[in-house]
Amino acid sequence: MSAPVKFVVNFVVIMLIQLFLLNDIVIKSSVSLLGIPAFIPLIYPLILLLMPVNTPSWATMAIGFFTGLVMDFYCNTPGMHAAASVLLGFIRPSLLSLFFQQTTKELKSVVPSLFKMGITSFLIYISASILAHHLFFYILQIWSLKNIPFILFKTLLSSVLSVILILLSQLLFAQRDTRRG
Amino acid sequence: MRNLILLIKQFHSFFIFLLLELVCLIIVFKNNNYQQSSYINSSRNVSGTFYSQKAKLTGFINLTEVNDSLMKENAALRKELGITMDVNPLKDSTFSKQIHVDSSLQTAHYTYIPAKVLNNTIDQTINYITLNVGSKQGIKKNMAVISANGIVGRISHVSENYSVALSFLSDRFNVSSMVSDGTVGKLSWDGKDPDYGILSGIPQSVKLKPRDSVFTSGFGNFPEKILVGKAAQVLNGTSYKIFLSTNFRKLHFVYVIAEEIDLERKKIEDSTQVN
Repeated sequence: MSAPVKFVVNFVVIMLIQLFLLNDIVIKSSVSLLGIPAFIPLIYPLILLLMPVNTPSWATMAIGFFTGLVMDFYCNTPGMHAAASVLLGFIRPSLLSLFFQQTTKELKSVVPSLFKMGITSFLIYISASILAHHLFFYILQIWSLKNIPFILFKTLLSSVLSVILILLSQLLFAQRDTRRG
Repeated sequence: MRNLILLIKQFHSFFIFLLLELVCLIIVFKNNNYQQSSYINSSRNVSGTFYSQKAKLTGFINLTEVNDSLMKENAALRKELGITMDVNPLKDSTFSKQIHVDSSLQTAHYTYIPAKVLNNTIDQTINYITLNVGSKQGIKKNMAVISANGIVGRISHVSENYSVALSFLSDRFNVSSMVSDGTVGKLSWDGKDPDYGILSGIPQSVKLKPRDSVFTSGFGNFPEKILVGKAAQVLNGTSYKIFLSTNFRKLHFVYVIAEEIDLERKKIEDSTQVN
């Protein structure tokens, strides 16, 4: 598949999973046990995270803006998802350069995945970006200084669940590297 | 000038980041005040249609639960039909009742518009509920929304076929409520637990016991004597934790109250405020 087709398929599938399944999960289970606030996992940042390595940062930011706005339309959160996704699009290139020895020009259109990067690097890459995205999103959403522990707690809960779901999705759908050296 | 262009060239991604982030934050803070109508909401036709399709596809999952709740409601209504002077707003889709206010008699006409919940969130600090009724069915802004068990919220955005209600689970959403002896307090949500609300402003002389019922007072958007919840815990002398009677996790059908008198009163109250 060519890169744009792959991107559109990724976008539609991930958005449908987010809006159809994950946005509802919290409502159907009793999560308020033990004082845990209601939260939902957000896996739509995966759309940005799984773009080819050589995508320029203006493109990831523009796509992040668009993706976030779509989420905002459905979740009644004016601009918050968009702001968090633009931040993610901005920090993504510098995060990626930490984990690849080659420069992004040499790598061309390699897609970051669990099997390409290895479990440790991929986990750090995903966790760091998800944490940044969720933290910014919940700061904007809750927006009060007296609730800082609450913001951190909610960010942590949601991030852990999102990272677990992303790892599972990688195990299921990511292309395994068949070349052996 | 050349230096400026070089600078922009070098840090172009950072400038794009600042620009986009600025746009987002303007959207966020312009719509932070939920009384203003925001353009981005799910009463728009695109998202409304999406949610109604989704409800069609996934509706059968909750079927047993919905049936159960409707059966219970029916049973309760049937039981109350035998009692003559009881006021149950859900007995019929339209009814009128007599209210005594300062020994003068008024008649309030209520019309209840049944609606299906298409989408509902409880995890945000300001939560919204998308309903499958709109201006075609006579929905207007600021109408109260209740469920069979208690209060739900009030309408904030209306389009032709869909509407969005601001859920009670929103900060700054206050409901004027009343305990059994007539003392009026303010019920609000602390933004954390979707099962509990905070009732404040009850004088220390009035002691609420656990499991005491709390009703709406009729001073706000909601008609009076609708069950809100039961007292669960004393926080300090004047505020109480209230276990809400509405289960916001299992919200499938709600009723929008089209109360003519209240809308007229709201118009007069709004006209006295100078903004």
